[in-house]
Amino acid sequence: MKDEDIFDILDGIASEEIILQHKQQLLKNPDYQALFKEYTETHALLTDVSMEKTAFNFTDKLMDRWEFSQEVVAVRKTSKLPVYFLSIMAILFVLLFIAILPILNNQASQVDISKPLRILQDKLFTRLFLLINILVALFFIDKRILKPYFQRRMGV
Amino acid sequence: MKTKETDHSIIERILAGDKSGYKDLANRHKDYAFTVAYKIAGTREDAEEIAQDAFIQAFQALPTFNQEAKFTTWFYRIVFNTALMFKRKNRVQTDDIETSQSAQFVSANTDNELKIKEQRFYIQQALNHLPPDDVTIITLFYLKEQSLEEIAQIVGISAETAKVKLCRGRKKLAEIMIRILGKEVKTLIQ
Repeated sequence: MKDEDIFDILDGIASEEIILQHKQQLLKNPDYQALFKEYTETHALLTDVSMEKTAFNFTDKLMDRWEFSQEVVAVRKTSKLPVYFLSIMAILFVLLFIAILPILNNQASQVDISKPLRILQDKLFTRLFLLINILVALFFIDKRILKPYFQRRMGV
Repeated sequence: MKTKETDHSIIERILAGDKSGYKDLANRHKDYAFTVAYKIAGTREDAEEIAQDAFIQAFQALPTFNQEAKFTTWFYRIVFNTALMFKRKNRVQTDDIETSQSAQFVSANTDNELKIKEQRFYIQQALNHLPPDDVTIITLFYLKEQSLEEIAQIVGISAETAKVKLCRGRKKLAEIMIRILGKEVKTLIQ
């Protein structure tokens, strides 16, 4: 008899023929008796094994984790910072082009870029430009690093 | 009534925006998922982490779940894979499990409780010697909620291979039990 047949007997799915063979073996073969006993005992132990219970707060902990992961996804999905940045850059480019166009028309042969250069070299413009950059950088650091860090720390 | 609700109708509720469905789904399958994870991982702490990770993965993948398939087969496959990944990442020290679990005997109040705890302990010890797919096949088979075909799907093999693995796994388990307990196996089941 094969091991598979013995387990079929234990599982109650063996054919009549196998059951008959098994009964005959049980009567005359001591080795088979020992093997069948060994498998029967293991089978009985496994059958007695019941469902394990989770900790009482399993579902609450899971729901907290799930809600937190959802919030992170939501923040990521609603972040339109790159879109805003590109839109502003596009508008500035168009405005600059419109501002330069009359100059180009008047001096078709020779382009005078001293005027725009003078604006760029202006101290007030430089300070304003720096200030805007710092504000954008701070906003970015707050949204991407500080806010998620404190949310995680406070367990929100 | 919510208790008679099928898995599919809970999923439909979730997909329609009802967030309470997640809780219903978790409450319905948490013990089963935890049991499978526990048999593979060997400790309650790891099993809880595995079961939680599996639920999060399943929740995230719910919109892609094929409504014609059986939810439990799909979900237990996630539990099995999560447990497998966890086992690969954290090699569990068998000695630690033995120490932590043998301490459980002290808290048993009656002879019957002690016997059940002993049974669980030695079965778990024996299961720790088997590969995760064999453990999963044996566990799911004896929990009697899945057919052999479904168990095969969960582990990602054919039904024929699952049957062969189940037989080999039980044979090996019997050998391990004899090795661990000698002739005491009989007294354990009496």
